[in-house]
Amino acid sequence: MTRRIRVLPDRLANQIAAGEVVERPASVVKELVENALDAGATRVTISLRNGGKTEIRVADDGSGMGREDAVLSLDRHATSKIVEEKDLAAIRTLGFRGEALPSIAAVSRLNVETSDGRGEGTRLRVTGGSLLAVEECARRRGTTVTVRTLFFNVPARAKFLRSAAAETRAVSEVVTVLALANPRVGFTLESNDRRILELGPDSELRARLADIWDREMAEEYTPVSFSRARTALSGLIQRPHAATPGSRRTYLFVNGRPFTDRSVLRAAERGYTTTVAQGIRPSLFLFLEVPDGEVDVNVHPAKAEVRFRDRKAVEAVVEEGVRRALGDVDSTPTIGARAPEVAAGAPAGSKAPSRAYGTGTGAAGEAQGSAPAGSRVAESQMSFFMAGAPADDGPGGERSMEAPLAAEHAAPPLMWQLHRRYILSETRSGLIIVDQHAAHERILYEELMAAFDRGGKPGQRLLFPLTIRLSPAEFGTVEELSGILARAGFEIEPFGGRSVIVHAVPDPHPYFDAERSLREMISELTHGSALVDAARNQHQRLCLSFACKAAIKAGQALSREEMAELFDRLFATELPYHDVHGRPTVIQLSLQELDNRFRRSG
Amino acid sequence: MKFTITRDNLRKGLAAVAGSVPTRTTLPVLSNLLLEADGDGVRISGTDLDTGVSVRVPGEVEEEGAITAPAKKLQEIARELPSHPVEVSTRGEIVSLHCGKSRFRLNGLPRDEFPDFPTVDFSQRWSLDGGQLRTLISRVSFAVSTEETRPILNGVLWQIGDGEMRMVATNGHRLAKMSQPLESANGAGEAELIVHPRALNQVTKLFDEGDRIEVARSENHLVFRGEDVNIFTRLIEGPYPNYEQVIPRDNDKILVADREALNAAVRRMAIVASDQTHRVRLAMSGSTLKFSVQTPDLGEASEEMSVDYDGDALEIGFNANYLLEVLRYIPADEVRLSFKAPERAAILEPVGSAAGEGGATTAGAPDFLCLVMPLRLMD
Ligand SMILES: Nc1ncnc2c1ncn2[C@@H]1O[C@H](COP(=O)(O)OP(=O)(O)OP(=O)(O)O)[C@@H](O)[C@H]1O
Ligand SMILES: [Mg+2]
Repeated sequence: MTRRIRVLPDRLANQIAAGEVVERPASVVKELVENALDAGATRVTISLRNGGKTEIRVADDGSGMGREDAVLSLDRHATSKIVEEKDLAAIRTLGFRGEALPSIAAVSRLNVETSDGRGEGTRLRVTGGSLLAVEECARRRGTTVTVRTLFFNVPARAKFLRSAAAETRAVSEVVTVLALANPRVGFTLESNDRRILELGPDSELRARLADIWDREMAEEYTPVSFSRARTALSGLIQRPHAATPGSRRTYLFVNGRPFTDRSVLRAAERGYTTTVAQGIRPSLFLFLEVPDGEVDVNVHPAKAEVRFRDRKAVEAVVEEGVRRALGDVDSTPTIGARAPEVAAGAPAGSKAPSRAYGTGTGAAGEAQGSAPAGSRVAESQMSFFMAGAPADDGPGGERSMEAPLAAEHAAPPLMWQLHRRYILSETRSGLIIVDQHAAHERILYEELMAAFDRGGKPGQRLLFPLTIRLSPAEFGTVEELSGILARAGFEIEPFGGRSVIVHAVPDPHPYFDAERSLREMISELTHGSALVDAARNQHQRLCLSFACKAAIKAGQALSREEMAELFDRLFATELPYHDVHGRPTVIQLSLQELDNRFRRSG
Repeated sequence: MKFTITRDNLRKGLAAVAGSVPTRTTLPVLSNLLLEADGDGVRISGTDLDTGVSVRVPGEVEEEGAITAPAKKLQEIARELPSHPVEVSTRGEIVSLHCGKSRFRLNGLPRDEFPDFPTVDFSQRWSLDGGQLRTLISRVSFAVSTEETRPILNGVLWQIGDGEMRMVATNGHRLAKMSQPLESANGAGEAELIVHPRALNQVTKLFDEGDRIEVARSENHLVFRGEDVNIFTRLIEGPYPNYEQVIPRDNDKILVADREALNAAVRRMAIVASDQTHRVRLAMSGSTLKFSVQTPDLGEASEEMSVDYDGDALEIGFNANYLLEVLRYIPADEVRLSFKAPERAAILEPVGSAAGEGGATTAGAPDFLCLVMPLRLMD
């Protein structure tokens, strides 16, 4: 028998490997820029000719290579980045396979000039994988790799390349991703001698966003900073009110490495639940840091995906981190300039976002110090309203009661009701405007959700039970939901035909119109709406509908005490700055903005 | 128009009508007061169209006439004037005030722009005791509803019958009812009126214990007439819900306790009650009443007190605010609570009469009753 299996010659093997690593100019740029970043470059310059089809050049000021290393770098599986198997688990560099340079070299005319800053530099010339020359050259520390006539020897591949403009766009996206992951590194991208991206070194994430897109876009984002069990999340996420149904930007990084992952994105979207309307997809720039061994980066040929050892835990951190960020005052819209940032929008390690408002008028003076649930403690900082009060007052989660007790409490902070619709209050950095209806929606939603977790909420029995006639479909809804309705405080009983009799109702505020609210709820739950159709289960569906229908209406005059109570309860919620429709509950107007407008420097 | 009035009479008149001037109005003339000089005095009137007050104060009228002038400015001026007679005169729509060496000229509006008070025929009228009326109002009107889609419950039901008059108010969660005896065959016969508490407040403000108040009605209005004061109000259209039917007759579990002690205990419990439901739990058995509250995320509290209790053991929940309100208005030092079941209305009534309370029936305890509907207990 003749032997049919043969080991491929290196050149052919490299060409085949190139098929996986090198698809188009953008993938060449990705590999070369990653190498530059791995070499510790502080500036990377990428130049294209004809969308990279004619020439790609990547120059860096990184560590460079000595002559021997430079020659070796062209061999398959030659890498300086890992030595043994266990290194793979702790990989912090973008490269680790030792495949990129030989693969690129196999399908192009490659020129490498490099110097490690000691003595002469080295120039290598390679064509179609054959090393043609190794020469001395003069060069500062760093490396310049030039790739000409990509796929000159693989015409089948060359055919698949798109227009120069399309290839340039793809390159620019690759550079954008790596530039976002490395805001401290300067990037320049030129195409046919035209500069299309210029990003200065020593930047941080928000400034980088502003440089890549524009300042206004960058201002739409609020910082995320959360960690649990050595998994840390940081980055910037779009404020809910700025998010639109159109296209969005999502960038995920783990340990500095870009990756794509639908379920991580979905976890982030879960964090947005109730703060954005259905169909709205906010933009995200999320950076995960996980301990060595927690992420496997070697699962995808182009390294586009990773595998987490404990994916659930990572998703939980992402969801929770996003949610906390949305619980922060910084996630609210402002009129004009924002007050100087409390928690700077930088990835990694910045201090936890600060929670702001809460009047603490509950029983001010007596300082009950009633310790509300864990999450509440850190959240309501009563000092917020006292102008000039120290920023870091201790927790003061105090409570207030409606009349008649409220009447005896110490005077609440100054609040004004505007047009029986908005509540305005002075804060340490300016003023806030609260939409009374939106705020009360958030309160009722979270309070009822929490009540459901504990089995439900008592209903106030009625002296004069309500009789309500329903359509057949509505009657069906009430029958189907009677258990949940009862736990929400509505005690409803069939009353012959399609009528029901209501014996008990919730008593959320003194202006509550139980009959109208219940009718509207039943109708909404029967016929659906954008709001309730976004719910994940019947409980949430009911809570959303109840919040919307039962909340204090615009037009309702409120007393000082009622406004103070509204504030206290709002700022005891998890997401006080967002109603349940994707609208803000609070808008800030900073003193700085007022100073700007009154042209007062100061 | 021209008249002279003492500063104090001017102040008194202005103060009486102050509460009837709306703070916000789309009809500018309503922020003015109507001044009418005739005979031996001046009549000052203000209204927000739904209620109105007019008061007559003595003055020396030199030239009869009428004008309207801005209420707030008149009051502020009267407050600052020295203790001298004030001469008020008009030229066209200008009102001049002259007091000592001070002079003021205010822009007024002509008299005919001011709405007419409704005319009510007083040949059919009730003649009532100011003290009795004040007692009813002050004990009952707190219970009206603040929710504005059922205007009937925003009003106080006032029933005038043969030998008795009664007021009732409720928001559907709790109810207050009180009666006072009337000399039989009093004036205009029996009636059921639904009156806005704003008007009733004016009555308590402007009439005193010993005053005789004549009351008459037209189709839509009610007028309270005293010696110098008239109050009119637009009646709320009924019918009022049948409250008699919801007052339980068979509450057989009876608890008697000291009102102040109950009140204090509920107030303490309310501190830890949920700020959503304000729920406190009452458990009665033997001769103990045990209060308790549990609020997730906050904590709990409980308190025991020994009471007079006659009935099977019972647990029932209430909104602490409703209990406190009702306890505040019960006109006696001891209160009797009666219950049937955890989902049924509780009755609170005074036992004996509180010190200094007028209008008690001969039996001792005033005819006063409150209902409070429970909060369902879920666990
Ligand atoms: N710009 C550069 N500066 C300094 N050293 C470089 C540069 N580019 C490549 N090298 C060296 O050449 C080696 C081979 O690079 P190559 O990209 O082929 O493999 P890798 O980066 O190790 O792994 P991968 O195939 O995953 O990218 C690297 O390990 C590195 O030591
Ligand atoms: Mg590499």
